[in-house]
Amino acid sequence: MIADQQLAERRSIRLSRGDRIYSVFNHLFLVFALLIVLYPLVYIISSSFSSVKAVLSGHVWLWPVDLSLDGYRAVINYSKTWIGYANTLVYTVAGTGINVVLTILAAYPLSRRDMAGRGFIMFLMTFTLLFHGGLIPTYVLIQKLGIMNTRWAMLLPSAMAVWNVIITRTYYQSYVPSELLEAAKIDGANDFSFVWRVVIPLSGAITAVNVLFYAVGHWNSYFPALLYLHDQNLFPLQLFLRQVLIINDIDTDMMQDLDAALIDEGRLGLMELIKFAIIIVASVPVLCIYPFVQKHFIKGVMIGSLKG
Amino acid sequence: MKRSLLQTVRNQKLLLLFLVPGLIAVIVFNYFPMVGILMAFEDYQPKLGFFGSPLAGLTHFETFLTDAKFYRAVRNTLAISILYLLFGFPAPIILALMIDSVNRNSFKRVTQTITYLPHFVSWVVVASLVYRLLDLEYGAVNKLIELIGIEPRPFFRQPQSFWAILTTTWILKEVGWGSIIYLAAISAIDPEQHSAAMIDGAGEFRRLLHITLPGITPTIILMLILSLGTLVKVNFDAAFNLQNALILETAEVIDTYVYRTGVRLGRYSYAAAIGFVQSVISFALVYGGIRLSRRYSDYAII
Repeated sequence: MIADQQLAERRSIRLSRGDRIYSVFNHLFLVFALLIVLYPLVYIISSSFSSVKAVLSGHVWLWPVDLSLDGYRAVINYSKTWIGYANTLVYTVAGTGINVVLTILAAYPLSRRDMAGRGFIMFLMTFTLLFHGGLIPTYVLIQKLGIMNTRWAMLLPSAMAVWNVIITRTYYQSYVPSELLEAAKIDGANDFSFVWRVVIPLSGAITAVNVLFYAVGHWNSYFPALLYLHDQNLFPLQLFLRQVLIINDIDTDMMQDLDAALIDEGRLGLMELIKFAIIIVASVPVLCIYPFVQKHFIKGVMIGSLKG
Repeated sequence: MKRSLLQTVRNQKLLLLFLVPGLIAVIVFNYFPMVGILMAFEDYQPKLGFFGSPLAGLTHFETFLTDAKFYRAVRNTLAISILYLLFGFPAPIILALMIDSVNRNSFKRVTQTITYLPHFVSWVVVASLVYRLLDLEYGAVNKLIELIGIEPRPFFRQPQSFWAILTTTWILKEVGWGSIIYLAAISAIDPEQHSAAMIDGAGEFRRLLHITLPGITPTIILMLILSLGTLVKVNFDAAFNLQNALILETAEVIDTYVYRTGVRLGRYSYAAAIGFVQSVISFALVYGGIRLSRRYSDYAII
C-alpha cells in the first residue's frame, strides 16, 4: 500500500496529458483483467442456481435462468458429497495438525545458533528442494511401506514441507530474541517449556501462515488420493469432484432421492446440474475464509521470498 | 574437540529429539525414494523389490531415447515452458507495475483480492470451468466469437489449441499470486527517489520506466534464474486436468507421460528412468542458476 503521505504527494502533482492517458489505460486494463477473472466465478454461481433445462440448453451465460435449487438438492442427495466432505475434513484437520507440529518442532532447533549439526541438517533438508527421487520411486515406496489405500498415505508423505520449516525458522530467528532464552534458562526452564510458553505464543503470525498454507493444500489435494487410494470410502472431496467434473462420471446408485423431474432429464442432465453446485459446495469454505486471512498468506509469501 | 561435541549433544538432547520426527519424515519420504532411483537401472518387478530385481543397465534409457512418444512429450514440455517464459513470466511483473500505478488504495485492494483468488481454487475446478467455457455449443468464448462473426471452434478437440489454452489458463490463475513478490520489491524502493523525480517533473509513466523498473530488476533477474529450473517441467496439475485423449499429441508432457507409463501402464523402470533424467536436468539448471545468481547479486538467496 502506498503511504498516505506519498499518496498525497502523488495526487498533488498535476498530471500531464501523457500521464492521464497512461492512467486511463491502466485503469481500463485492470478493470478488464478483473472482469475476466470474476466472470467464471459469476458463471458458476449463476449456473448452480439455474434449472436443469436452462443449463443443458446453454441459456445460462451470466445470470441464473429459471431459478432453481435442483442442483444443490442433487448434490445434497449425492452420498459421495458427504463421504468426500468427511474425508477431506479428516485429512485437512489431522494433516494440518501433524504438519504444524512437525514444522515447529523442526524449525525451533534449527533457529538456535548453538545447535549442534545445524548446518548439516539444514543442508539435508534444503537439498530435497532441489532434487527428488521422482514420482515412480515414491509410488513404489508407499507400496512397500504398506500404507497403500489407507488414510496414512494421505497424511504421511507430505507430513512436513521444508519451505515452511525455512520460513518458520527465519521468523524465530528474527522475532525470538536470545535474551528470552537466557532468561528462561536462568529460571530453570528446559527447551520444551520454552517453546511451549514463550516461542509459540510469540509466533502467532507465522503459525497462522503455516496453518493456512497447509490447510488449503490439504483441502485442494486430489493427486495423492488418485495415486494411492482405491477404496471410495476414503476419497477426499476433490477426487469425487474430479470424477464428476472431468471424467464425467456420476454414480446414480449413490443418489438417495432421485426426484421424478431429475430422472426425466436423465444422467446427462443430472451430471450437468451437479457439476456447478458441487463446485460451489467444495470451494465455499476456502472462498469464505479467504478474504479474512488474505493478508496472512501474503505475509507468508513475503517472509519466504525476501528473507528466506 | 571431540569431548565438547559430546557435551553439546548431551546438553541439547531435547533439541535433537525435537528434530527427530521431521528428520524421519524427510529421510523416509525424500531420501528413500532417491534410493529407489535404482529402479531405473533394473527390470523392476514388484515381487522382487529394489534389491532383488535383475539389473538392466542403461536399457531403459536407450528405450526412451528411441521412443517417439517420449520426444513428443519433450517437445510439448519445452514448447509450453517457452510460452511460459514469454508470457507467463512477465505477466505478474506487468500486473504488479499496473497495480502500483493506481493511486487509490481501495481500488488497489479490490484488484489484489480478486486476482489472488484463483490461486486458491483447485485445478480440478479450474480445468472443468475452462472446458465449460470453451465448449463448442455452450461455451461463452465460442458464443462471443460467434458474435464477431467467426466460426466457433471445438477447442478441446483440436491439438493446436492446447498450448495456448494451458498458458492462458495458467496466467489467469496465477498472475495475481505471482505479483505479490514484485509488489513487495516495488514497495522496497526508496520513496525518496520517487519524490525527487516528481519534483523534477517526471510523471507516473516516466517514474515507472526510470525508477520502479530498475528498482525491481534484481528481483526479476533472480526470479528468472530460479524459473530456469522449471524449463523441463510443466505444472502437473494444470496439464493433467486439462488433457484429454483427443489432444495428447500436444498435451502430453514429460510429467504426465511418466505418470501414464509408470502408474497406469506399470512400466515402472521405464518411467523411473525418464523421471530420473528429468530430475537431474532440473537440478543442474536450478543449481547452475543459484551459482549464477550468487555471482550476479550481492546477497545469496539460498
